[in-house]
Amino acid sequence: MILKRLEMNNFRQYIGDQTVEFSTDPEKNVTVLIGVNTSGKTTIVRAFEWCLYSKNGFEDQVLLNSEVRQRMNVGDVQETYVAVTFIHDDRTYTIKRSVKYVCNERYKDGEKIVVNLNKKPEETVSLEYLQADGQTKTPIDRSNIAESMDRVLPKDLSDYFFFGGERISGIANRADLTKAVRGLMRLDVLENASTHLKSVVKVFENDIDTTGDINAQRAKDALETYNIRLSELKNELSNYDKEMSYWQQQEIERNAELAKSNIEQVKKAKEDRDRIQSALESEKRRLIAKRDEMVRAFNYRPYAFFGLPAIQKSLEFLEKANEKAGGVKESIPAMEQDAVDFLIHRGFCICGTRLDQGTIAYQKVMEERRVLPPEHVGDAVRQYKDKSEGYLAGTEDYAGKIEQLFKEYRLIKREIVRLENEKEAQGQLIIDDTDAKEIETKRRNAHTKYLEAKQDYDSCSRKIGECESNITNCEQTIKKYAKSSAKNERTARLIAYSQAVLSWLLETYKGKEEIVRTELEKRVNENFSKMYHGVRSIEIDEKYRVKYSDITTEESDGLKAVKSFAFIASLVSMAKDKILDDSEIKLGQVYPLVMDAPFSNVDEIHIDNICKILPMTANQVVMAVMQKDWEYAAKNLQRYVGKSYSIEKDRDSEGNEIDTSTHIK
Amino acid sequence: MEQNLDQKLDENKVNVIKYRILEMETDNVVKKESNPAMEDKIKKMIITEVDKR
Repeated sequence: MILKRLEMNNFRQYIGDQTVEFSTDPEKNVTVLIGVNTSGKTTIVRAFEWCLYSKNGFEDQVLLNSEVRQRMNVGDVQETYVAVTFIHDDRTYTIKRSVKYVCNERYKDGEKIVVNLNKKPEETVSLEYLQADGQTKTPIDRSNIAESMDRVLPKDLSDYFFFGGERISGIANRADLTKAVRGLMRLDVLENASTHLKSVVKVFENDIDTTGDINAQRAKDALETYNIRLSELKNELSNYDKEMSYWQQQEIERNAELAKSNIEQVKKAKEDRDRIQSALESEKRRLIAKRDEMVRAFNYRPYAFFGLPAIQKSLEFLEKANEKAGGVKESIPAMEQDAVDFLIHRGFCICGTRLDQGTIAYQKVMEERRVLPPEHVGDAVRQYKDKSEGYLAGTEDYAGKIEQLFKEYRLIKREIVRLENEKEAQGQLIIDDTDAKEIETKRRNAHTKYLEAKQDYDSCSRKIGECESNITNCEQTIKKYAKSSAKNERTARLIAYSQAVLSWLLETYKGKEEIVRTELEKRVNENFSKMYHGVRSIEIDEKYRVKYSDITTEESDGLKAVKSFAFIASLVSMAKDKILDDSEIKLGQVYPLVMDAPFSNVDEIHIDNICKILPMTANQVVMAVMQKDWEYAAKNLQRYVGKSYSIEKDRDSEGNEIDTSTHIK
Repeated sequence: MEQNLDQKLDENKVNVIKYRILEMETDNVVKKESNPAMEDKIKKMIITEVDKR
C-alpha cells in the first residue's frame, strides 16, 4: 500500500475541502506536515484510522467541523467525509467514509448558540478500484470492505502504521501479532490457499462412491464425525489460548506493579524472582529440546532394536539347521536353475566345454543346479542372513543412548522443580510486606489461572492430535478403496493432484514462516542497536511479540518507543525487501508509515538515529511534526522530503487564531 | 512430492494448479469472496486443469 491522497471535507477543524497529495517518489519518499501544538497534526492520523477502519479516536465523537455545525438549523443535513486514495498491487483504490448529521435542536443559551445533532448519524463507506483502462471504477461489495482493508493493511497492526508519539510506547507489548504479521508478509495468501484447498480435497473425497464396500463406507461415515469434532476442538483450543494470554498479561501487570514498590525487600525479591523466572523458562526450553532428542533417538531404527531377539533366534536356528545338514554348499549368487537348463539345452558351457549327458562336466553343472533357487532355498537363506546381520549392526547402543538422554531429561526436570521452589520462596518475601501482599496474591491467582488454562490447552491439543490421526486413518481407507475401484478413477486423480499441490503449499508456508521469524528477530536487533545507545538483546516469541531476552524489569516510555520503532521498521523493511519472494512466489508488499509527533518521547540522539533509518526501511513516510522537532529531524531527513506542507490555523480579522478552522498549505 | 494412489502426476499440470491457486488467492486479498465461493472456484479450476488432454 502506498498512499496517494487524503481528502477531508469539514472533518473536525479542517474546514471545507482539503487535500494532501503524498510523495510517491521512491527516492524522496518522505512527506512532512509541520505544525505547532493543537494545530491538527493528530487529526491527520485519526482521519486515516477513521476512514480505513472506522476507528473514532476523538473524545468528542462528533466529526463535523464546529463552524459548519454552528450554522445548521433544525432539519439541516450536513455531511463530513474522509477519502484516502492508495495504490495496492498496482491498482489504485479509493476508500471514502462519510457520516451525515441532522440538526435536531438549535437554541440560544445566553450568548452561546447550542446546536444538537442526531445521536446516531448515518455512516457510509465505499471502496472502489480503477480498472486497467484508468477510467472504469469497480466497487467492492460493502460487506467485504472491512475485511478487504484488513488484508491490505491489518487493523491489528494499524497502530504501528498510523501512530502518535503519545501512543507508540503503549503498543510495544501487544497480546498477539501472529495474524497481523502473517497478513503483512502476505503469508495469508498461502494460508488461505491451503485452507480452501483442504476443503476442496474433502469435497472430492466425499465424491468417492463407497457403495459396495462396508469398510470404506464406515470410514466415510466416521470421517464426517471426526471432522465435526476437530472443528469443535479447534474452537476450544482458541478459547484456551485467549484465556492463557489474558492471565499471562494479568501476571505481567501485577509484576510491573510490584516493581514499582518502594520497599527494598519487595523490590529485591521481585528482581530475584524475575531472574529465577528467566532461568526457569530457559530450563523449560531445554526440557522440550531434550524430549525431542529422546523421541528422535527412539524413532531411529526402532524396528531393528525390537526385532533383535527374534532375528537372533532365527539366525541361531539357521546355524543349527546348517550344522545338522552337514553344511549347505554355497550357491552362485544371483543365479537360478533356469540358467543351467539353458546351458544343457544349448549343449555347451560358457567356457565352451561340451555338456553331453554322462560327462564329468555335465555332472558338475548338474550338481551346481541342485543348490540353486527356486528349488533350493540356500540362496534365499544366505540373503536373509546377510540382511539380518546388517539390521543388527548399529543397534548395540540403541537402549543405552535413550537411557542416557532420559537421565539428562530427569536432571533438567529436577532443576525445574528446584527453581520453582526457589521462586516460591521469593514470593514469600514479597508477601511479608503488607502493601505488596494484595498485589502478590492477585499475581499468584493469575499465575494459577494461567497454569489451569495451559493444562486445558495441552489436553485439547492432544485430543486434536488424536482426532487428526483418526481422520488420516479414515482418509487412507477411503483412498485405498478408491485406488482399486474403477468407478472412482477420475475422482482419485483429482484428489491426487489436489493433494500434491496442498503438500507443496503447506511445506512452502512452513518454510516461509520460519524465514519471517528468524529474519524479523535479526533485523529488530540490528535496528534496535542502531537506534539505542545501550546494549539489549531482543527475542521474537511465538506470537511475534518483542521481548528482551536479558532483562524482565520495567522499561521507560522512551525505550518502549525505540523498541516499537525497531519492530515496525524491521517488519516494513522485510516487506520492502521482498524477503519471501522466489522464482515461484511473489509475496512482497510495500507499506507506508504515518506518524504524528513521533519524536515526542525520545531524546535528540534517538531522533537522529531514528531519522537515519526510517526513510531507508519504509517505502513511504508521512510525518506530522512539531516545528521544534523538525529542526533536529531535518538534518537527516530533508534530502528525502518529496512533499512538504504546513498546518496553519486561520486567523480572524484581529489576527487571532481560530481553533475551529485549520488549513493545510 | 507426494504421489497419491500410485499415480504418475503430470508435473506441468501440478505447476499450473499451484500458480492458478496463488493467483486466485492474491486477487482475493482485497476482493474477499466468501470461503464457499473460493472453494468452488478452486474446485472447478482443478477439474478443468486435470481433465485437460
